[in-house]
Amino acid sequence: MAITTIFDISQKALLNNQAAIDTTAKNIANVNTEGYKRRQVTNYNITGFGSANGQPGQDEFYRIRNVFVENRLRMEQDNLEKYETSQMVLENIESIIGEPSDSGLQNIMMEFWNAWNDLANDPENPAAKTVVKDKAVVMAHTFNRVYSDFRSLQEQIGYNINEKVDRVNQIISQIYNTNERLGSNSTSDLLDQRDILIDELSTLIDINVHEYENNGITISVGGQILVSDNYCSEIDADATYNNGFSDYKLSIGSNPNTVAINGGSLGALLEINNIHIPNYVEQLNTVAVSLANRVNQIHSLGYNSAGETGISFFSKNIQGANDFSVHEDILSDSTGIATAQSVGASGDNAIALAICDIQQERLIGGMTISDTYNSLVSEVGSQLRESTFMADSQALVMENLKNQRDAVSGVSLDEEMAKLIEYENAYQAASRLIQTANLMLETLLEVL
Amino acid sequence: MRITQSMITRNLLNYINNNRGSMNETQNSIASGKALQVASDDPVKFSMVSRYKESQMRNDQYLKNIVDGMGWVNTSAGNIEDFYEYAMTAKDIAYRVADDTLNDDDRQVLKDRLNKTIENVVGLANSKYLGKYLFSGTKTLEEPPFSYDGTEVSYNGNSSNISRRIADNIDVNINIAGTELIDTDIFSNMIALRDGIINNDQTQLSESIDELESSIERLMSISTSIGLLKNQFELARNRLEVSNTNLDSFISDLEDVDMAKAIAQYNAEEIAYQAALQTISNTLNMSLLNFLQ
Amino acid sequence: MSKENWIVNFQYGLPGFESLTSFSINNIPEYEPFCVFQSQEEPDVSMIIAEPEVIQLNLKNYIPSEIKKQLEITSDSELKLFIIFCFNNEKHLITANLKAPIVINSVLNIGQQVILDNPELNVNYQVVKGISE
Repeated sequence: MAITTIFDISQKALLNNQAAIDTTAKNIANVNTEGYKRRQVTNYNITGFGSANGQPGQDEFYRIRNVFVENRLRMEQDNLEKYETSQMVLENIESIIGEPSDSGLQNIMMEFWNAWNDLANDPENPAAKTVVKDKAVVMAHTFNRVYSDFRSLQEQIGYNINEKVDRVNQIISQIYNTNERLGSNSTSDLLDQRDILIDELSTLIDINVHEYENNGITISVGGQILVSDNYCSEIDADATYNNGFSDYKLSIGSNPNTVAINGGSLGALLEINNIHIPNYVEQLNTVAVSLANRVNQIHSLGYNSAGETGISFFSKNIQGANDFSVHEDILSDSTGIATAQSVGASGDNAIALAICDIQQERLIGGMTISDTYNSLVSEVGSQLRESTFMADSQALVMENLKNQRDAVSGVSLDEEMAKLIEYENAYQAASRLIQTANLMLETLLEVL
Repeated sequence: MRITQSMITRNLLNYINNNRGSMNETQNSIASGKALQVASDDPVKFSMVSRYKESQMRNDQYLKNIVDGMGWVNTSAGNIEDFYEYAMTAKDIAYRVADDTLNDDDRQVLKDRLNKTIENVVGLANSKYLGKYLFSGTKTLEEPPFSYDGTEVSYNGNSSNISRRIADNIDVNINIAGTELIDTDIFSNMIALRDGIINNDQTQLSESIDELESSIERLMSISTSIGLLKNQFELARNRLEVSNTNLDSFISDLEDVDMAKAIAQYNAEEIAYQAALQTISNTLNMSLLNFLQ
Repeated sequence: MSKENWIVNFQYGLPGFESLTSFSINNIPEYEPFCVFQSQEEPDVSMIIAEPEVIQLNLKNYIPSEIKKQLEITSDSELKLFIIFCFNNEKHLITANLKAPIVINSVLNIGQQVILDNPELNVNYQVVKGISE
């Protein structure tokens, strides 16, 4: 074998091992980088010449990934985000309702009925009427407050929905750009970047990802394409309002039909905003309206100490928890409260007792007023408990998948170090071979 | 499956985070003493506890109503006893007058005493309790229910009932309407006795004694019914107290935490948490990298 | 004490729980010497009970003969008494209901919660103080 050949071989070996050492160094440096896929140098024939400049080619590197696990991970990621987002928002709602607490509606409604009972024990006493009015005012404020807290929460959610839609659109266009660049030049780094973008996208909406052989990709949601190699669209969020509460409809590009988003944090926000909050508010409104109407109905049959009848206790035509209020006449003069079923008898408490009866009447679909309110509280509690449970379970599923993925793609320091030692030795060997060859050449030259 | 660095770290971090979570839960239950804090802890139990707590609040109101009602009833009972005393006084006078040995002056004295008694009885019938007429039906403020013009006693109240709620849908009447007092004929009989004295009508006088007897009997039966009312209140009160105590026992069983257990659990978790922290630093140190360095 | 799977019928339910007529009495080893008194109709309704002797009290003489007649109790051996406890994190707040014990005919397995009139029987008897005396 010619000396020069030995040189060539050695140089190749050096270069090869250098590349291997570089790769290992990169792997070690990226041990904690999220999304980094371990590079591995393919074995190629040491006697071959490789590419023109002697370096191993780009396409020799491949990203080791378990494609199946990656896709599963994505699907589960949008579920996890959905449950965690639901959990967070529902916790907000539970604290808006604020039970159990002395300032919660359950206790306040009870105090209202008890004030009427105290009045029934002492209908001649103006002070007892003042107490009834005061408790009613507290109750009205509580209804109003809960309603407006729901409104505020929904406004916040609307803001979040718009923010996330903007982010989705940003990501989509970045993916499209990456697709374009990948078309001409396929690198592991670009593919990793795109994967990171897709992972973030899957936390926001429940996407379907279809990959092609040439690293091409199509991403769709709700059956509509968002981005592909030669196509890029945008999500639009449109809000309509009903009694001050918003309903968000999302659509893609020029397609006017609503796109169904069922996962990711957007999926959770849309469901809570469009379905749950209006449902809770409607139940709250039902409680408020039933209470006000029934009290007014009985109260107007009664007589007050001035011998007047037909008086409303609460404002007329209350539509919900928002406008629930004590009638202005009662607010300005609580002695106007009616307690008697006929005129001229100060000790007549029949109407006051009849109003106490309301708490036991099955006014709303066979349920009492407090039953109905309690079932609202329970419903929120159940949905929160379910979201929490699902989020915890889902987190475990994600753990397992990530461990599986990392087993294939992740970096193990120990393994890399061992490889480094191996390459070092090979490098040393290769460089010694060159030294020997050098020495041989020198000797030869000296001889010559 | 290969164990990579990120797996080890993540699993340990999870372990620490999970420990933190449950320690908070235990801490909360010790602080408030209640394991069931919000509906989402256990929605079904929460709903049941809510219902029973409402029962307790209603029971407390009923107890309040009973105390209020008892005040009225006890005062009425005291007054009825005074009626009884006055009726006995009248009967005494009647016996005395029936004794022929009295002269005109004696009879005059007795007649004056009787007049006074009649006025007192009317005054008694117009008694107030907490500013309200006791024996006027529901016209508790309007005007004194009984008036005496010297000839007869008339009643201006009504016969309506004043009631107190002592249980779900159970109302009890606490008042004795003035009509009941009129019906005892105590007033008319006393007036008849006085007229008998004025007219020195022996027949009328001896009838009066019998009439007053039956008035007294009717007063006694009013007393008896008040006694029954008191019993009814007492029974209801006992039952409500026991209901509430039963509810306390049941709810405390659901909500309260076994302190010894809770503290032991907390301490165990505190130790586990610190151990987890130790483990993380050890594991990272043991990687080959450090070893080589 | 309790028998295996002891179920007792309460014709009138309990004050506050009038609709519940069937209860079980079970020994739970961790709760010794207390037992669990549990509704069969609504299993979540349960209370901690024990025989009065556990807190050094004897209530047998307080039970009116009227009640024994209603429960068809003819001899002392048929009579079983329990009192209901209300537990608390603060030991000195643990109470027992002496005013309304549970009276059972242990042969016929029927019972009542009887409200006693005696003023010295407290509905919220402070247990810990009692034991230390």
